[in-house]
Amino acid sequence: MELDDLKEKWKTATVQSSVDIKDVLTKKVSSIKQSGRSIRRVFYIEMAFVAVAYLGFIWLVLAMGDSMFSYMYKLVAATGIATVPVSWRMYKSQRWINSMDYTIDMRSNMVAFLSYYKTTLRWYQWSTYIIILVILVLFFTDGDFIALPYKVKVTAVVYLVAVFLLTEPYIRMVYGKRIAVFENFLKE
Amino acid sequence: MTDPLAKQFSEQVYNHLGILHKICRTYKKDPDDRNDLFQEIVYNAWKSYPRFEGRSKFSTWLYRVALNTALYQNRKDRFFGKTIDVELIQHNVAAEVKDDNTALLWMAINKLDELEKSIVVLYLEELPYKEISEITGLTENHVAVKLTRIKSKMKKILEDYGA
Repeated sequence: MELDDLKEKWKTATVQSSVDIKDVLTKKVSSIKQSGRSIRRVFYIEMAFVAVAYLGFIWLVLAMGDSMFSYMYKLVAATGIATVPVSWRMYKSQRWINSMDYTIDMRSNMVAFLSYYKTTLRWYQWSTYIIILVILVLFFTDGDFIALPYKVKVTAVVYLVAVFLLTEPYIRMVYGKRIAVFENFLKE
Repeated sequence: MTDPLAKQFSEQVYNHLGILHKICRTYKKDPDDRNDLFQEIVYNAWKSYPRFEGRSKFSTWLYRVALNTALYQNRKDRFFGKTIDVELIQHNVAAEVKDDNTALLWMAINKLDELEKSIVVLYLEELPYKEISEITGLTENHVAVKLTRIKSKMKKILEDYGA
């Protein structure tokens, strides 16, 4: 069987929806005010997670007081600062998608999207590299960290180096397929 | 009182409800997601409708909006890690569609990537290459090449399903 053999089936296929009645559709159109709800919801949820994590840290500081190691403060401060540009870029990306011109041809949108998407992924990749290097520098210039047992220090370094090395393959694995599909589509 | 522009727009969209639902069905497996996509398409079309000058057919314009929306709304889902269970898709298709060959067609379409899906949908709607080219932005030759590849991929998929 081939695609052409199923053309008739496509024509006769019906897909039901709750907005099939013309008046309902008109009312719906008249009442439309905003969109992008789902993506904004996800973004707010992510931001809420970050806020909860920071509130948790503040609670930890209050609970532990002076017994808190100084490198912990530095770690949280460094990751917090590094998160800002990536979060900003993600927020802008969502706004960018919402403001896309959906009436132009798919190819034009795809070219613009690919360029934007690749830049966002570069931000993601490089901000991860920078934060890891900054954390390593902060750790090894911190008296509390240097005083930690050898095994703990090695574990921390191995973890950071692993994240450093896996960032690029991870990005390629998670986001690369989509880029490849788009690029393949655009290829003459 | 209903806005006359909204009424005019709704009437035009109403005439193309069938294909809009099929596009939603092609890109979204879950009925709630389909409903969300439908609303998103209507929203994007309505937002741009005042700028629609009639240089292309309304249907061509609407297909562009619908497919662009489907591609990027889909992107949001994947970006945030939402996945679809294949067995669930098959179960839903079987439950929704009584005819075996129609179910087979939907299942085969589900196996295509999101861009191949867009071309297949337009092809199944029997749009001429010129119109598919206007919607996708590809040249007519490029559309023809893509369709040949997609057809052979579909044939293989259908064979795998025993058809």
